[in-house]
Parts: sequence; structure tokens; C-alpha cells
Amino acid sequence: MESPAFLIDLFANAALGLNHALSIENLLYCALGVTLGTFLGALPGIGVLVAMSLLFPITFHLEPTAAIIMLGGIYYGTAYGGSIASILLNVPGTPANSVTCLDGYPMAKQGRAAVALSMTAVSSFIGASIGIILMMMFSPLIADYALEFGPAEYFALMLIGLLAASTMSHGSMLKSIAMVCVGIALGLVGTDLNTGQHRYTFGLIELRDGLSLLAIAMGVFGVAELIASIRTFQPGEVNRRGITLRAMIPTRDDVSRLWMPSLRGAGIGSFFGALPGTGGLIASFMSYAVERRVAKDPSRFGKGAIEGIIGPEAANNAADQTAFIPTLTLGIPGSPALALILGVLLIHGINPGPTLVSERPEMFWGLVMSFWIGNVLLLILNIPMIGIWVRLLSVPYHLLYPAILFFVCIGVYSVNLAAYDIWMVIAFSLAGYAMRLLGLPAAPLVLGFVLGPMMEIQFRRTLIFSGGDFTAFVDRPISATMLGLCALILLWTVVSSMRRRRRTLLASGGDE
Amino acid sequence: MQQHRIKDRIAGASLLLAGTGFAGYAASQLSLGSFAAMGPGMFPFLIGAILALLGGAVLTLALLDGNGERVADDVMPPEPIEWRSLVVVIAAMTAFTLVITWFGMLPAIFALCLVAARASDKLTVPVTLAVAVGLSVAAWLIFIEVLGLNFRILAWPF
Repeated sequence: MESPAFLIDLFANAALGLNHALSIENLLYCALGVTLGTFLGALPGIGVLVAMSLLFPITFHLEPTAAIIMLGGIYYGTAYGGSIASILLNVPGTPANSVTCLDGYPMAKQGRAAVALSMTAVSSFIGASIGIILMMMFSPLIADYALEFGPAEYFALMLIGLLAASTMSHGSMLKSIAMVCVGIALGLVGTDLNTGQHRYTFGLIELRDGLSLLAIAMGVFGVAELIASIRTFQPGEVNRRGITLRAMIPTRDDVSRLWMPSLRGAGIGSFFGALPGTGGLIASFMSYAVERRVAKDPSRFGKGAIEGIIGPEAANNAADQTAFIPTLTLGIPGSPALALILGVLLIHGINPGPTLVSERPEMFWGLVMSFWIGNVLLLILNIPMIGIWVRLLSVPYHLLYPAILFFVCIGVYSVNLAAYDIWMVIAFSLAGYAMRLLGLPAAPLVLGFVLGPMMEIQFRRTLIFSGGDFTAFVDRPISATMLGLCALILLWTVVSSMRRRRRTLLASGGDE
Repeated sequence: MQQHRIKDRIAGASLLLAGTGFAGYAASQLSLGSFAAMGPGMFPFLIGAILALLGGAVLTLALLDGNGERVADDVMPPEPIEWRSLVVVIAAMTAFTLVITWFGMLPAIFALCLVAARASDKLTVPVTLAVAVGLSVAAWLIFIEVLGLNFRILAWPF
């Protein structure tokens, strides 16, 4: 790996990517993506999924490279924006920023909000940079390796991705896996690729092409979220005074505390980001725990320790970048946000997977280099231009939600200029809100929806080659190992839920 | 806790029903084939069956338990149903859909805003109209000027 040829390749690829990322159009969409991402991330209650699904329809009208550059920008931009609300309002802008509240808000109360904001921006940038460097180094290697994969390996990989994603999310494991199945089922609606037969279309012509990811994402994330928050959400008071460029200059002590937590956070984040099912949220909590453990004086944490915001913010931004590795090189998204990005590629007729890196290098490396540009832009947006976002935090929510609702409707309508598409969003909004009330998670559904049809293809292929012999799934070492891991995940969750069950039974027995 | 139990019973029952329906359709309307040569119905049948099993498990656990939280294990407490927001949001989207197909984009924006305003006590008619004007300008800029889409701004169907 350290051979000069490897480095030469890397630089050639980087140059190719930069060439594409620096085209006026791509540059513009990258800037648009990160700006919108920061804005929507900074608004509490609008997480990365809502932000991405709101802007999803616009990607239909763009070139595929520009589309994912923009959607990617929204994705990692929300992590920057989310920390603003955490620090100033004590309300996380997105779940991955929740841990930043612990020390960010106390810092703001001590009048150090400006330093907290500038230092999180810098550590976010460090985290993201390390994530991108790892992505540049490992993606081609993983893609090369994955070229050997057969259908059994892909099936096992998708299974592990789905299982891991649904067990890592909080809430009931049974319900999460059930929702994965619901998602797969919805994904199977439409024309069967092998036989051309229509499945679950009930005679409707519109259903022959399948349900649209757009309608599902907008309904279950966007509108359902909106219904729940219109009347319950109260924007907080923001103290804008004291957030000046001059006040953002950190002290010598702050700077000396920047490097190690950032690097540790970036390492933790890069690792968890690349794993399926984990990601920014878990990485930021891990990083916080690590910072507390290595600190000379752990009692400072929770009272405005700057390491407590630097580490987690580096971690969640690194995780956001490395999450692209499995999505683009294997075609396996580890989180619903990446499933949306994968969905956009599929809609544009591009199959993510090991061949993407070799067959569409301009797209892959263009995207990677756009991450650099996007993160530099985010640094600018979050330090010299921070005042804008701080002001936007106090925009009253009652003015915002008609606008969000309007952009959902017009966005969906703009794709085909068909009323049918909005009716589908309305249907999925009702379903999504019902799911929310019943405690059925929406994220596994979207993952299942995107991966379901691909899983069917690989499942059928494996068994066609083997003549219906199921041992084909465990014949090859890689797929056998992965299926073994799946079994372990299942076993572990069953055992741990039984344990918990017994504990609650004992506890409630004690009450009586 | 009572709410937790009811919530899980409904969730389990709906999942069970959905799975049975999905598998049932596959078994009755599509050919299953054999594992060596799968028909279009085989994979959906398997998924439906697994879904029905999981739904059945959620339902059984919710019925067995004195309090359903053990099944759900939910961090979030059950939230109250926001009836007013639900009705208003769905009505606003419906109004938009109907008006845009008959009368074009501009009236549809105003219809959506005026209906959506019913969800909040703070949105008075003048404020709502101002929001609608702002959105019209934004929509014209983004979708017509930048993306170059062929929207009908005003139409008369009769």
C-alpha cells in the first residue's frame, strides 16, 4: 500500500476528481447543498433525513454527479449546522449533535459560545478531513477486493447491513426487523425483473414501476415529522450578543486542547462510520466517553469542557464521510441517509458497487473531491458567516412549516408534473404518522425498501447457480463468515432482550 | 403503561395482518416455483411469512405481558395524537393537489398556505398571505427560472 505506484494513482485520481468537482455547475450545487444542510441542520426538529427528503426532488432534475454532490453536501452539512443549536439552545439540531449539548451549552452560558462555535467548526473540519483521506485510500482497495464477490456474498452483506442497522437503533428489535420486512415488501411492488410479471399492482399502471422512494421518504420522514412537531415545538431564546468574529478567536489553552481530542474523535468516528448500522450518533457518544476517561480532571465535563465538544464533533463528521465507503464501493448503505443517496444513484441508472470506482471514476472521485470543497465551504459558513445561522435560529416555526409543506408538495409534483405523486406522499404521510404513534421505526423501512429488490436478485441468482441448494450461501468463506455474524447479531439481541425482560420482571415483582 | 400495551397490540396485529396479506397474495396470485427456479412469488412469500411471524411475536408478547413496555423497550413514551395538525396538514396537501391540477401553481400555493395556517394560532390571514407571496416568488425562482420546469402558473379548466 505504501508503494509509490499507489500514491501516483491516488494523486491522478484526486486530480481527475478535482477537475470534475471544480466545474461551475458542480461547485454551485456543492455550495447549495452545504448551505441548505447547515441551515436545516441548525433548525432543531429538522434532522438529516428530513433535510435530505425535502431536497430530494430537486436531484431528479440534475446530472447524477451534481445530484449526489448536492445531496452529499446536505448530508454532511447538517452535522455542522446541528452543533449550532446544541451550543446555543441546548437542543440538538440533529441527534448526532446531542452529546455536544452536554458541554457546549454550559460554555455558552459562561459567555464562551463564540469560542465553542469556532472550535466545533475547526474540529468538525479535522474529523471530516481524516474521514475523507481514509475514504480516498481504502475505497479503491475495498472495491478491488469486492470484485470477487458473488451473489451469495452480496446477499449476506445486505443481510448483515439490514440486521445491524435495525439492532443498533434504539427501540424494539422485533419491531425494527419487522419494519425492514415491510420495507422489502414495499420494494417488491411493481414489475418482477426476471419474469416481467406485475406484482401487487392491483391493475394500477402507476404501480408497475414500483413505489417511489421519494414519496416514501417524504411521507414517513418529512410530513410525519412535521405533523408531530407543528404544535409541540417551541423555539428557544437565543442570546445573540457576544457572537462576534473577535470573540471566536480561541485562547492558547483552547488551541492546545484541540488536536488530540480531534484526532481521537476522528479515529473513533471513521471506524464507526464505516460499519453498517452505527454512525455519527454512536461515534459521538463513544468519543465523549473516551475524552472523559483520558482527561486529567474528568469532573470538568458537563460544565463546559471544550474537549467534550471537540471530540464528538470530530467523530460525527468523520463518521459522515467514511459512511460513504460501504455505500459507494459495495452498494450497501449503513444508514437511511446513505440509503437515500444510493436511491438517487439507482434512480439515475447508476449501480453503486465495486465497478463504480473503476467504471465511473469521474463520478466517484468527483464526489470525493467535492467533499473537500464542501468542507472548506462549511468552515467558511460556520466561522465568518456564523451570524446568519444564529439569526435564523430565531425564525418563528409557525412561519416555517407552511413553507416546508409547500416545498414537499411542489418538489414531488415537479418530478413528473403528476398529481398521483402527491397522493402517494399523502398516503405515506398518514402511514408514517401511524407508525410513529405505534412506535414502529421508519428508518429500517427505508433501508429495506432500497435493499429489498437487490436482495431478491442476489438470492435468486445464488439459488439458480446452485440448483436450489441452500449450502451455496455458506460454501464460500466470506459469505459464511458474514452469515455467521448475522446469526451472532440475532442471538445477541435475543439473549440481551431476554435478560432485560427478566430484569424488568424481577423489578416489577419487587414493586408488588 | 396501559398505553404501551395497547400500542404494541395494535402494532403487532397490523404487522401480522400485513405479512399474512402480503404472503397470501404471493401464494394465490403469483407462481412460487421451486428454489432452483424461483417464480415471482417466492421471495415475496418468504418476506411476508417472516413479517407475519415477527408481527405475531410482537402481538403475543404484548398480550402476555402485564405491561407492554417490556416488548417495546421503547425509549420514547407514547406521544399523544396531534389530531388538529394531522387533519390540517393532510387537508392542506389535498387542497394543493386538487388546485394545482385544475387552476395552476399560484392559486395552489395560496390554498395550501391558507389551509395550513389553521394548525397554528399565530398565523393570521395577513401573515399567511405574506408567506404565500414569499413562497410564490421562491417557487418561481427555483422551479421555473433555475430548473426550467414547465409549470402552469395559472389555469382555467372550464
